[in-house]
Amino acid sequence: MTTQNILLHYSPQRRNLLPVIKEVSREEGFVSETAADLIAKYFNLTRAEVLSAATFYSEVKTKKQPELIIKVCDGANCNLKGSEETLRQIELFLGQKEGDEHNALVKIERVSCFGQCLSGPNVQIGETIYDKIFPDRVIDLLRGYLE
Amino acid sequence: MKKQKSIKIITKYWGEIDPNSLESYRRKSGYEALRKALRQDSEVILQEIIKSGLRGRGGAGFLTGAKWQLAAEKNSSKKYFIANLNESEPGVFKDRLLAENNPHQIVEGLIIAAYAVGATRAFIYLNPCYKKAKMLLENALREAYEKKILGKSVMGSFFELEIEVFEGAGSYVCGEESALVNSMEGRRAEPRKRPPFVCEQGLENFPTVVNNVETLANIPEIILNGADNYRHLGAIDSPGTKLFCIDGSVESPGLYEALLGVTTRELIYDYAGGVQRGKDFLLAQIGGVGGFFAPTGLLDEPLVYGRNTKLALGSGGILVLDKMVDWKKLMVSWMRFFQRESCGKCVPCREGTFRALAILRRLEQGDFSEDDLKDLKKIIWALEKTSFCAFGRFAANGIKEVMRYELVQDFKERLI
Ligand SMILES: Cc1cc2nc3c(=O)[nH]c(=O)nc-3n(C[C@H](O)[C@H](O)[C@H](O)COP(=O)(O)O)c2cc1C
Ligand code: SF4
Ligand code: FES
Repeated sequence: MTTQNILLHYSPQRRNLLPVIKEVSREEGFVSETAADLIAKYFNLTRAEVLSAATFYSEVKTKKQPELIIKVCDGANCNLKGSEETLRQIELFLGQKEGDEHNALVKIERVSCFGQCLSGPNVQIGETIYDKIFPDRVIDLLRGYLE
Repeated sequence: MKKQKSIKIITKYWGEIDPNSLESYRRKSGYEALRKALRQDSEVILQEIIKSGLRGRGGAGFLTGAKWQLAAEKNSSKKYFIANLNESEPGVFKDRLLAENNPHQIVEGLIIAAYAVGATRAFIYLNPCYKKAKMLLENALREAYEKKILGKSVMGSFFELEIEVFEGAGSYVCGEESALVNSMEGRRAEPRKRPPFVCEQGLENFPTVVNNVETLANIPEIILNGADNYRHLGAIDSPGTKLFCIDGSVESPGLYEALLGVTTRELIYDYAGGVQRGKDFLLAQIGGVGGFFAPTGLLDEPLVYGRNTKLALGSGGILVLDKMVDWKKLMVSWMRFFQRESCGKCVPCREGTFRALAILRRLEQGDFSEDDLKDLKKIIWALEKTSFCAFGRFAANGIKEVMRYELVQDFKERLI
């Protein structure tokens, strides 16, 4: 859906701003300056107001994102279960570091907690959260995505 | 195992109730408390909650009745009620399980709460990772509207209420109530200066009460069986039960409901199956990543809310650590969390977590100097004393505990 179409589904009250920027980010991949201007006009705000909110939230992106995002939980509970070692494996396998932004296909991120701590280490690939991803399991899992 | 059989309020019907069915909840006296509440004046319900002594389960243990009263007394054309399900503390998943196992208990508590303070619009502010909880809560609300438990006339009364789920956008600080309100208004989720408190001036400047969902899930029990009964459960000044998420070096990690006043030793041995075989107990961290330590000497300290406690309960996360724990690695993970989640509003926390992380990384890599220790101590001090919200204190506390119990050799040696 385009930003225009998304806006049609919401009334221009501030309480709808976060839902709108989240949806635009999800549908278009990120909130562009053009989209921010459209949203600002609709809500009678400035572009700065829209972008200052948009840049705050981890679920909202303001830059074009790689196709696949791999999120490794770095919460203390997953960390104690070995999520660092899992992350190292992913980094080695892909030949890039957590946070690197040069690859248009894949990005690796550390995230705080999925609320599934008992079954860690947890890794989210695309939309799916996988549990018990120990270093020895992670490569097979990634192969399935990359082929 | 005897304690496990003790009183349950929140988890009582988990597994017995179909979370997808209002009818199934009703068969366990579901919505009977609401029916009872609506037959009485809202002031009576408010007084009942005050009398119950219920304290908030979102972290600080604030008296629920006192908070409601502030909002109830406000003269305002509109009031809001928000159930806080932002839960994003590493190691804590109780609110997710509550929503997944008995969503109607949250909804019923929320309706009674809104009635007591005179709110006509309510929201459930949900962690966006919680997809299953979202589906079940939205289904519960839909069914409640169909059965006229929500809407223009709640259960045929003069009380009108609408509830909707509001999905957050992935930020820990969003769980702080004034930051939460900012995020619902489409602003950066930074905490607001208080006063005014959000219960006086919150969403769109209207009085807005924010309660944790576990707090709200206690309300039906209090109304059905009476405040006097509730007040005598658990500990003096800290009544009722609490959900604990126990993980780490125990035989049976999991979620357990226990009466407040329970000790860490009881939680580990009577609930979580004891320390994992082959592991040497060192200490338990109580209350999440910023929590206090309970070494053997504090295992018999009762866990309660309120001022006079050595082990602030927080939201109920308990992490049991054994002697093999790699403290340097764990501290780096903590600080990465605090640095990532800092909202950036105030300098001590925005810069302090960043600097502390760099220092702790050097510590992990064996490149830790005397100056680093001095700087780290200054940062801890600034985080604790000068941060704008409690987040800064959480960020300092774990490191302070590691220093206090002298768990890292480098911290000791450099002192001489
Ligand atoms: C940084 C920070 C994060 C918080 N996160 C949450 C949260 O995720 N869920 C929650 O219920 N309370 C959270 N709180 C506490 C809320 O500000 C608020 O006190 C609570 O929702 C009130 O509910 P209660 O009185 O029922 O405990 C947080 C507080 C701080 C300072
Ligand atoms: S202490 Fe941290 S989270 Fe709280 S206001 Fe300051 S920067 Fe934001
Ligand atoms: S710590 Fe990884 S899911 Fe909670």
